[in-house]
Order: sequence, then structure tokens, then C-alpha cells
Amino acid sequence: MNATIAAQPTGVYSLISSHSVSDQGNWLLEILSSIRWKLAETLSLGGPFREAIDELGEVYLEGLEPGWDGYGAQPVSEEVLENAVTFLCRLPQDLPMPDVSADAQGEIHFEWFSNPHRTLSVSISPAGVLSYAGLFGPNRTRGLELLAGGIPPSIVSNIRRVFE
Amino acid sequence: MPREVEQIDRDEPLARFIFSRSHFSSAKKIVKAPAFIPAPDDLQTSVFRIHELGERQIRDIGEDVGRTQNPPRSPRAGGEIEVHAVINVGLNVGVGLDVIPDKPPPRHAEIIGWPRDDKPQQLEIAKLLAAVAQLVLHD
Repeated sequence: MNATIAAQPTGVYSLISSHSVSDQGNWLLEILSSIRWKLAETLSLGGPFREAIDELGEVYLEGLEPGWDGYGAQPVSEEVLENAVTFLCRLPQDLPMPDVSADAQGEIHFEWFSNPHRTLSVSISPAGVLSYAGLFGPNRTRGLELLAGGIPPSIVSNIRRVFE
Repeated sequence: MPREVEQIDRDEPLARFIFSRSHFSSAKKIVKAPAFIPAPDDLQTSVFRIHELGERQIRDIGEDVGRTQNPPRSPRAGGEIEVHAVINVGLNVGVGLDVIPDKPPPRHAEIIGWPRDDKPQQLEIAKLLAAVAQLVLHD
């Protein structure tokens, strides 16, 4: 673990010790922290990316326990977090960063939003299955892809479509 | 206690109490699709029938729902605000879902009919619900 990172925990990372996160989950959160600080130091695009990473960490910590949504939600697993980190890191840099949330099935959601009727959501499963659905005015789209290699072109093109 | 209403009208408003801060955006004044995605074991979304109720009464129901949870919680996902989403029964029917009474507690109902083993379709339906849901923030 980077000593600089350890010395300067902020926001969600300062809360990690108060949660029952497994070794694997801690390792992933340290990865998030590392990415966050590298971006803060070097890249002009670090702001939105850093915010998305922070949101991801917060969503993961909120979703650790069964029933975290107040109903019968499954916890967000380390595999889902790992896949979500991979997804964010592989997003083309010219794309806007998404909002982050989680659902009752323990999947992490990324959402790109122009208005309530022009929006795309991608959810990520523990196995790296990407389910997506988009509303584009009167038109809709949905599908399944695998998180292997880069971000699937169908998802990239639908993200761009939100902001056309 | 108001008289229990048994028949569900298509025009009835429903409240979905939100306990996760990631399920809404107070800045954008929107409810997010994951707020409606059903748990995988029963594929149902818990809601409350709120016709003829005032804001204070709706808020009380939300507080009651929170108190029955383990650990008890309040629908104040943003920290200082309380939130719920309002959608109409007719909308659920329009996207292939149904709403059935499920007491107790009083006024409780479940949105049923979610497609099984089809996450993209579940997501699309949830997005349609979220697109027209009204986010209510309690001061």
C-alpha cells in the first residue's frame, strides 16, 4: 500500500476501518484509493473520474450487508466491485463519467443522464455480465454484453447517444 | 385509522420508500432505476398505497417501515432529508407489471410480474418507472 495514500485518507476511505470489509474488499478499496490519488496528482481529467471512484467506494460500503436497501437486497460482492473498477478504468477518456448506484440484486449500476427520458444504465454482475437499458425519447434499447477486453462498442455508442 | 381500501385503482398513487442515498439525486430531483429493481428471491417491489393521505401521514408510514427493519432505519437517505418516490398503479400495468395488496402492514402492496432471468428487461422497466416517478423530499 502506498504510504502517501495511507497518510491521507479522506471521505469514504476514512470510513473503511469502521466497516466489516474482507481482505479482498480492503484490497479493492486500496486500489480505488490509489487510482484516486494518482489522478489527483497528474491528470486534468482526474476530477470527474475521482468523483466516480469515490461514489463507487461509498456504494460498495453501503451495500456490504444483506438488506442494505431497507428491503431484501443482496450485498454488493467484491467481484462486482472489481468488475466495476475495471469498467470505469476502461471507459474511453472522452466519455462523461456516470453516476454510481447499486440494486437489490447486488449489482452496481452506472448511469449516464441527460434528462429522465434520455438516459442509459449499465449494471455489472459478479461474473462480469453487463446488462444495459437506455431511454432515448420514444425509443428504447437494451442488451447484454460481457466485460472482456474493452468496453463493448454497443455500450460506448449508447453512452454517446445520451448526449447527442 | 382510515378505512382500508381493498380494490386497487389504476389511478392510485404508490409510494416507494427509499433508504439508500444512491437511489435518488436531490440535485437532479430524480429517482434512479435501481430504486425499483426487485430482490432476486421474490421478484417483488414493496410499495405503499397513499391515496387520500397527506404528506405527514405518508412520512409516518415511511418511519414505521424503517422501524421494522433490522437495524431500524429512517428513509432519510440523504442524511438530513427523507425521501420517497411516487408512481401510479396504471404505469406499472402499462409496462407489464401488476400491483397486489399485501397486508400487513396496512396499505402495503407489492409490484409483481417482473420478468425472470432477464436483467436488461428488468432494467428497462425500472428506468421507465424512474423516468416518471416523482421524488418527494421531506424537509
